[in-house]
Amino acid sequence: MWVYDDAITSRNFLILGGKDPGSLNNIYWDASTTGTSYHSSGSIYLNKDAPGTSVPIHEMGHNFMYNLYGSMPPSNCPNPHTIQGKSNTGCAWVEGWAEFLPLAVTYNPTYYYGSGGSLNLENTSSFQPGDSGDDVEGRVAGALWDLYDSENDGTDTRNYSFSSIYRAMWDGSKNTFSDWWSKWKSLGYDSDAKYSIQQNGINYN
Amino acid sequence: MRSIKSKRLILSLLILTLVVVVLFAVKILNRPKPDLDYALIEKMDFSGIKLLMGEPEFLALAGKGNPVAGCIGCKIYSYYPEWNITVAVSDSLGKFHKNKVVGIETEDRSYSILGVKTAMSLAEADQIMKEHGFTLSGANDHIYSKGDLNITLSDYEKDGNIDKISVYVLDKLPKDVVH
Repeated sequence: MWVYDDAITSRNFLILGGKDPGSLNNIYWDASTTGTSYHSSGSIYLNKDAPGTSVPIHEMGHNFMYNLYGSMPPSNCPNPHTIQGKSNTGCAWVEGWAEFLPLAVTYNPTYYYGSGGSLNLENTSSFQPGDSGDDVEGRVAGALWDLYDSENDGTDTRNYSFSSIYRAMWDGSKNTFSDWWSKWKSLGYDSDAKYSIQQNGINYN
Repeated sequence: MRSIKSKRLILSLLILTLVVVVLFAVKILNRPKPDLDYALIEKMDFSGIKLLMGEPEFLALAGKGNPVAGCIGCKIYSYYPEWNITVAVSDSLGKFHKNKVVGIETEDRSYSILGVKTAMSLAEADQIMKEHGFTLSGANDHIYSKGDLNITLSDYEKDGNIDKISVYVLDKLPKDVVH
């Protein structure tokens, strides 16, 4: 039932944001696996640690991205990798979007892991200084959150509607957060949004 | 007449069997394998904790530690203050290294990893890494790779010296799967 709630809530949230992200076909709950995942064949696999965490909507975020783009952007994520560490710009975009979605749906900057840990993405400046840039998924998720939230911190003194953030995501497929930023500007949205992004160690013009 | 038909049938079955066996053998020979220098991995020792150690053996030795948030693809990602290391144990999604120690990170200068220690200069470490056959990926990131083995030398202070060493065995996910 909790999965159904997450699925309906997140899809409705995106529909209200201006675009139906399509349906979630198969969601499996497997108590024996220790990992959660989205398979481009159209299936989400969750495990015993997923209920009540950010993980179900994270995996749904991957599914919605696949639906909206018609394929999954090439992410090539190292396995394993950390949310705070450098991977590559493709991985950081695919995972950063999926980490931002549960925050936006619940309007809470804390990402809750299946392992019981949590990470507040309101302040990604707590990451190691070397781990900045748009090849760090936590920074991408934090930048999207700072664009959306109404809290001011550092150079993040602006907030924007979810529909504008989402529009720049779904209007044409993107392979990186930099692609998202180009789309944001081409749609005529506020270029001063770069200051909220900058708060997360990503410097765009 | 019936005998000739039987012989043809047997011959066809034999040929079919042979084709299936050859195809199966080709598939087995061509299946992806881990690209790892196991001799190097064996040399990396963190107070008895080693890469590719199985989860039960690791838990018996180290316990669950202090969980750290943030690892994607980890069943366990914990800090062990008694040894000053953070250890990552993989989840069960990878192709080759399920539920094994796949990552160890440390800022403790008492550990020597193939001759590289924290507080050592990046320039000196670079030479050692290259002698062991690693290549530098990313000019500014100090990530060294040798097959599926990655060693990251972090210089947080930007003073040219190593602040943290992270060694990771990377695993492949099945095609079209994301965490």
